[in-house]
Amino acid sequence: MTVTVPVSAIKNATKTALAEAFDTVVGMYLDKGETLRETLDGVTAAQASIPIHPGSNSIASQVNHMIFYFDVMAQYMHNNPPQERPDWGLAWKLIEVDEDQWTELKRALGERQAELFTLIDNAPDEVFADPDFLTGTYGIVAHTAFHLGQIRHARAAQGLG
Amino acid sequence: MSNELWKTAILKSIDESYDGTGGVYLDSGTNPLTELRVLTGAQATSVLPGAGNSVANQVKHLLTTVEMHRPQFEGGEYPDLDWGVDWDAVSLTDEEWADAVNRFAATRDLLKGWVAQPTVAEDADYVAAAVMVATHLAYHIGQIRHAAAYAASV
Repeated sequence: MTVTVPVSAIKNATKTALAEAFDTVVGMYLDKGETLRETLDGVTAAQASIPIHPGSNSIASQVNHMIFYFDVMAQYMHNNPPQERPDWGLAWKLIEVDEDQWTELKRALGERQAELFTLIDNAPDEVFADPDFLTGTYGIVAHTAFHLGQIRHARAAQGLG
Repeated sequence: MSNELWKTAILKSIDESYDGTGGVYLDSGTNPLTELRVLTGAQATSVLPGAGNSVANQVKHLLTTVEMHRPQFEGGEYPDLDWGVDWDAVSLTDEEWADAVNRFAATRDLLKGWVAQPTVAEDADYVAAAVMVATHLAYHIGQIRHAAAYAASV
């Protein structure tokens, strides 16, 4: 007998995990105060511009990479994959930001949350039968959690808790 | 939708958190377990200034979390866990660190076994628990890779 899992359960779990990363802790894997919004709001542009290691990336780089990644994945979710291989290195070239750039990065990241939720909500159930779509959708959750972990550790290393 | 199909995505992510295979969220060539195994006990327990915890603390926390996940999949009472202990400063010999990494590596099959079990597939709590397991792991792999890069330089 083939056991089935409702697509609605997958959508809900995916959105709950993403919401926890962005701004709403329900205790899935974060403690209160650890969301992206709370993590980034306490960081100034100067702090966001400090390389994690000499010659490496910064918190601003991480956020820029996340936005770039979301945009690439959104193309796949729209069934309109990029014509050329994305230049993943491009987003990492941004190291330093001024206050205006930092504010814009945080705004853009928050905007991606709404876009992702709309994409997940609007995806027909049959699309979730595609293994690539399923893996890609969960990949967004894991990728977001991974970089939130890196950002929080980088933040803590600056003594910001 | 086939339960097997959905679980494949979660199982791939769990694999990826250990050895980088899976193609779900890490850059190609990344291997978290290898990065842990090359550290000495002293490096693994070195505390990144400001961060307040070490790679060894992170691994210890993941080992503790397994016990929190156990009742989600096996049933039974939730253990009364002292989460704070995971983050206390610790000193490990190379052998003790190697043992900790081996115990962490062994949790891979345990977690995958829980997610792969055919029961309660239609239960939304089970779906959420499987996502919780894989996502919590990914979150701490992010912290571990950052901490390990520092530890390797000590």
